[in-house]
Amino acid sequence: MFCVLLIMLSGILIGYFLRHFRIIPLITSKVSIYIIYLLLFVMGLSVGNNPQVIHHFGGLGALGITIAVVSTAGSVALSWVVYRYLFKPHK
Amino acid sequence: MKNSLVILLCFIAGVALSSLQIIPRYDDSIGLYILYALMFLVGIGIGCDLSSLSSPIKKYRFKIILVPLATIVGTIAACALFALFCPLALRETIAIGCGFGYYSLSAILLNGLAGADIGTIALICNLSRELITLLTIPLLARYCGKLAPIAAAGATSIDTTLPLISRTLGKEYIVIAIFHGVIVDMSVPLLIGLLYL
Repeated sequence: MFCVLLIMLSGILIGYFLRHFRIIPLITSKVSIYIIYLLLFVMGLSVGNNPQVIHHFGGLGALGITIAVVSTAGSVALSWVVYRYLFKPHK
Repeated sequence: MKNSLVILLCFIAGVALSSLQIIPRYDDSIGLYILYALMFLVGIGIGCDLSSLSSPIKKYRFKIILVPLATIVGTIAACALFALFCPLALRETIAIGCGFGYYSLSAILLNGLAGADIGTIALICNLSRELITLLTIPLLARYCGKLAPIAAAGATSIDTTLPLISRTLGKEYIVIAIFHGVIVDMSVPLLIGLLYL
């Protein structure tokens, strides 16, 4: 995590020096979506390579996916309450 | 929506190609370098407009702390409720959920603390959480409030899901996502450690 933060910080520094070139943010957002695609492809590769995941796709895997859906829903529900009452711009 | 579909297709293509061994061996650290490149680009985007970093802090102040808190409490509550209906014990169910998408760490920790089966469930559960989030970020943002994608992302709101969060929610939410990611990230070993004291 700290490595990620450090790399982001160096990006911020370089972005700050380049801030007068208005084309830069457009380029980075265009390029980043393709890198996201690449990242997901590589994540897929490592999941396909992982026998622990592939072999347990039935019982244990189904239980894991269910817990993922349930816990994500719990977090989303509470975050909605926080957003609704504390973050949402009032009209 | 189109992005989510392409993301799903890329992931499926990766799984298919490597499980059919069309792409035989490869270095797992490639993914890490791609992530670094992505974070560098996110950083450049922030650097070009530094006010996107400071203005949400000024605007929301202490309310920002409630975002990771909602994520953690929401997951624990949902897992506790789910434990009533599932074959696992309460402690194991909560511990698996407390990976918050940080699958590498939670799987390793639970492998050691609770055995290989729980470790495997934790791996698949938290990997799924990351994928579910990546695929549903636009939907969550539209129907469940702008904090929902960050809450769903859990610990990954500081790395893999951050670029998509910033694209969907706008720059204003980047700093909230980073703060959220740091807190939830650190809570993973802490909560799992507390559960198995």
